[in-house]
Amino acid sequence: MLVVAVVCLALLLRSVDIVFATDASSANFQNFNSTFAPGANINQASTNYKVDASVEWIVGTQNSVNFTVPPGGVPFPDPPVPVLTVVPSVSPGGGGGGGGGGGGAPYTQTTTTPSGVTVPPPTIEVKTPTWKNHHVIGGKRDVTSAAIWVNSSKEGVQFVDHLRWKKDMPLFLGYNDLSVHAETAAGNKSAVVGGQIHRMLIGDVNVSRRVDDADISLFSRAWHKYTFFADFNEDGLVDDVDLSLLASHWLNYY
Amino acid sequence: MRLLVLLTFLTSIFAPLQALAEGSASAYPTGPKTVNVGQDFNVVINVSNAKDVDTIRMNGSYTQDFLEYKGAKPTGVFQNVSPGTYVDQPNGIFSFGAFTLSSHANGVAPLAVLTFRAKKAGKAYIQLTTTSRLLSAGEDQLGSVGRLNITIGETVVPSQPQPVPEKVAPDELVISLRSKTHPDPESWYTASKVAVDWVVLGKIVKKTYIGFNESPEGRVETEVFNTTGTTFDAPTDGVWYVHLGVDLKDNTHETADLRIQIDRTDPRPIAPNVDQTLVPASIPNMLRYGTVDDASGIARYEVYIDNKLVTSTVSTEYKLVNQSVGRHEVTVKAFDRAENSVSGKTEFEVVAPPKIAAVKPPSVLWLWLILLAVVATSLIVNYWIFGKKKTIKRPVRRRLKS
Repeated sequence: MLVVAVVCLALLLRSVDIVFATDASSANFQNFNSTFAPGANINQASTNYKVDASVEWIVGTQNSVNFTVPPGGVPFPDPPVPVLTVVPSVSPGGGGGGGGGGGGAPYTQTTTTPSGVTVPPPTIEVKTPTWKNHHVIGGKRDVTSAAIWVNSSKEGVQFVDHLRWKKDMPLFLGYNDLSVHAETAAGNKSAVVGGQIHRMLIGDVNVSRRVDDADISLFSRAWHKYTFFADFNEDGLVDDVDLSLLASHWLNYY
Repeated sequence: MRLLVLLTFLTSIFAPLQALAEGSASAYPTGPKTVNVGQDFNVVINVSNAKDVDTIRMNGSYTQDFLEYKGAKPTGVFQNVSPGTYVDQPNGIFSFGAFTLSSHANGVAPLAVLTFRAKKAGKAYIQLTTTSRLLSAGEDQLGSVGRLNITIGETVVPSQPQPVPEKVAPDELVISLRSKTHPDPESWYTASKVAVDWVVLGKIVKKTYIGFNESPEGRVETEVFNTTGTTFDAPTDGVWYVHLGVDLKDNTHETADLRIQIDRTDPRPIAPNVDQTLVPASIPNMLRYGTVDDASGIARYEVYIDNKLVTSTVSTEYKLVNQSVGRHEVTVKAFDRAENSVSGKTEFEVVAPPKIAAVKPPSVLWLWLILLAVVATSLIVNYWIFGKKKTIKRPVRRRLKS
């Protein structure tokens, strides 16, 4: 009798826990994965992707049509941070598997619906890293896609036209996981496409997760230049507004 | 491994700058060896063996019983005061940061000027601590720090404008140096034109000299005739001193000094920001703001939400709680100690709490019903057993009594 009561209580507590559980799309979800270098292991497929040489070697495969590297590499690329396009690679025949382990490399989890219909997965275009607290992600979708699910939710997802989708995502400090798939009107689901957006702490120029004098030192070197790592409002120029943003996060850490 | 990649990435960005940041530099205070009680004096922090230094942080301690910290300003190539500059007078601790946005400090160079006032006679010191930093592109090159020992003499120098007494004996001397435009030496003013006047009573004056400069121990420079007042125009913001000197008929020389603090410049622009611009009401959100002021420093921030003042504070953050659903406009005004101000705006939106994954009511209801049934059953069973025992024992007791 006692055992039955304990089991019932445990089940009740578990059900309460379910109520407060959050998923990656929850507003209070936080991801502190610090093992992932921004941009690493992400294929660059943007047609106008441009990056400096110092960044290139950790980025991985470059298949951009107009990919350029400034001669000798320049410390401050323009545009400083490329738009990253995660292109899913659907393995024929499915078989499940895949997964986003290993520190945030984009992945595609291929699934085949019971009816045998294969739904083309969407693509994800994100800008990472970023200083901003939210970011409009988007990408391409198949014309048969009736809904795009982002982190297990289709709330807030908009269709720009018959081939593109977008969603304004709140970002938290650190690495924000993305998991996107498409769904047809008949309920058939595409493969899951994953990725990450790295939101950095404003003022933390050296990415030490703390704002201090070393950041001011690096910030001063970037003054009135086009340096992404000191351009906290991402307007393309390091100026007084960025200094104010640094001051407003003085000695902050995470 | 990925952290290593990231560090390498950042190193590659700033590699040309780091190459210059080698060697070991020293920071040390220099100033007068002897001062008198009530006297203001400057201590200059210098650096030697500097290589391309762009940012400094001078942390230090001083004998708070003998000295009062009056302020600090960057000097040399440094023009800007960093956030986090403060003084803790009760414990005799200061932290002064500055940076340059143009040329950098090399070799032997002045970094900062600290102003102290001697409080009482005795031995005092100003000691930089090893937590100080001399940074070049993020690299610290501080190798050693120095200390300044000061002897404070018994002679008392008035630090405030002296009132004019009604009667003064012929063998006494009273010098009263005042300013109508800048009457309080401890306050900051926005007017750059400084009007001063003076009264000298008692001993006979042969010559009068006046001076206006940024040094508390500065010299009188110009002889003045047949006047007891003049005006000066401060060319830059900062702390200025009026010096009055008199040659007396008994061939002695006396001086009086008046501290003038001027800040005509607004604080640097302020860009308030929120941790989340779109957030459910149940999620904590933080408003952050901050700026720097190079002359008098930031005195306070005023935070307005939807044009309503919610706080006036020295803190650089404000927790956004109990905000109604909808879009809100935030204005933050920063005031320096001379009441110059600058303001900035931002917005955030509070949305209705997100729909929480609902638990199916039947399942919870069933669990509760099962639990209630179990408890009720156990109570009934226990009652039944308890009642049965009673009916067995009663006849036994009766028999024993009879």
